Amino acid sequence: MRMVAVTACPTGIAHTYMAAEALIKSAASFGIQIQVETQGAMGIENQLTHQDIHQADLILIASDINIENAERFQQYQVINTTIVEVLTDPNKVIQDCIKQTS
Amino acid sequence: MSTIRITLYLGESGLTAWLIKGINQRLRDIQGAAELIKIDTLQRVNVQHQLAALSLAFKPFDLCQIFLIGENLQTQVEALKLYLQQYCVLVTDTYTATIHSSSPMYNDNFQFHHFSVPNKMSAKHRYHIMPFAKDATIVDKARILKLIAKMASIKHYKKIEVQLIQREQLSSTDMAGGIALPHIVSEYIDQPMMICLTSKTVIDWQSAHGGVTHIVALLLPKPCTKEAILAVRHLAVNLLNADKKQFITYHYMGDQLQAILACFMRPTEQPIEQSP
Repeated sequence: MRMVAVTACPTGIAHTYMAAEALIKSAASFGIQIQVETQGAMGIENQLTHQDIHQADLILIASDINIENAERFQQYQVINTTIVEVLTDPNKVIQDCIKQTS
Repeated sequence: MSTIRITLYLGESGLTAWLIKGINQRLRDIQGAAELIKIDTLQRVNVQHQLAALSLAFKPFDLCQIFLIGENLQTQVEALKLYLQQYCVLVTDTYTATIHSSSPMYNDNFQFHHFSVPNKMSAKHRYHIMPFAKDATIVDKARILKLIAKMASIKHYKKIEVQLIQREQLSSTDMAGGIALPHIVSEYIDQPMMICLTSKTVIDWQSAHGGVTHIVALLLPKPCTKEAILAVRHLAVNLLNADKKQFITYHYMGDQLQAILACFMRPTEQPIEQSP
């Protein structure tokens, strides 16, 4: 299974990157291949291409703000969550994603 | 049974076989156990196992800790500290109200302040910060955010306080495990700043995690250097690790906290896999 995600928070110096790391670790524990784009104070890193998004089985946006380049996801089923939910229980977030797409 | 933590930076030779031997000589009569901890990865070994200690691959000037547990440790500890002072830099373990260090071993990007919450609240706080507080011993989140704002800038503290409150309103910065990480990027901050408050009693940080004893406030100027943002990022990601959070909360002294937090602000090296 292949997953892409975007993380973003208002300050963009801590939680954006914590959420990305938490998702990467949790996805790995479920055997899911994941690519996470971060939109923080350092700008956009690991930017997802249209091809990355098209090839993904799961698309997750974990954000407390409106993300940049959101139009890339318009024609896909996207699961939205908050940064707090990811940091509180990343495994539950991944499990919920799997349930919603199966 | 008592515990003692000796935190130190290794010297330019790193952790050599002769240094380990010297440490063990000072600890040979210890009634208890001694562990050597590599702080950036929290790998730990029995210090008496020389090969295991060497396998931690310490580099020159790495931060490490000798953790002693046992009875009547004081004599050995004094002898050990005297020995270590010749080859390493010991991190002091006494209370310091405010530290503003420019030591190259710390993170040069950040101005660092530490204080113990009860001391601050019962003395200066009462007269200069919260003159209308009826009970200066009651410590709550709002007061602490105000205190952080005042520590950051007397001139702009009201605006900084509003920014800190607004950030907390979006979601609590309680990281679980007893640590809160309030943080802002602000046009009212001149230089990156870490303000660390510790309290022996738990402070309600208005989250589901059960309160905090260590508040590590990070205030960055706007615009901010890449180095400072990266430092905060590394620290934040390190705080996902429950062991690292717990390790931080064992410490209440300013110098030790500064050394440990600065260590966690650097990119983490992956521990070398030990062969069975």
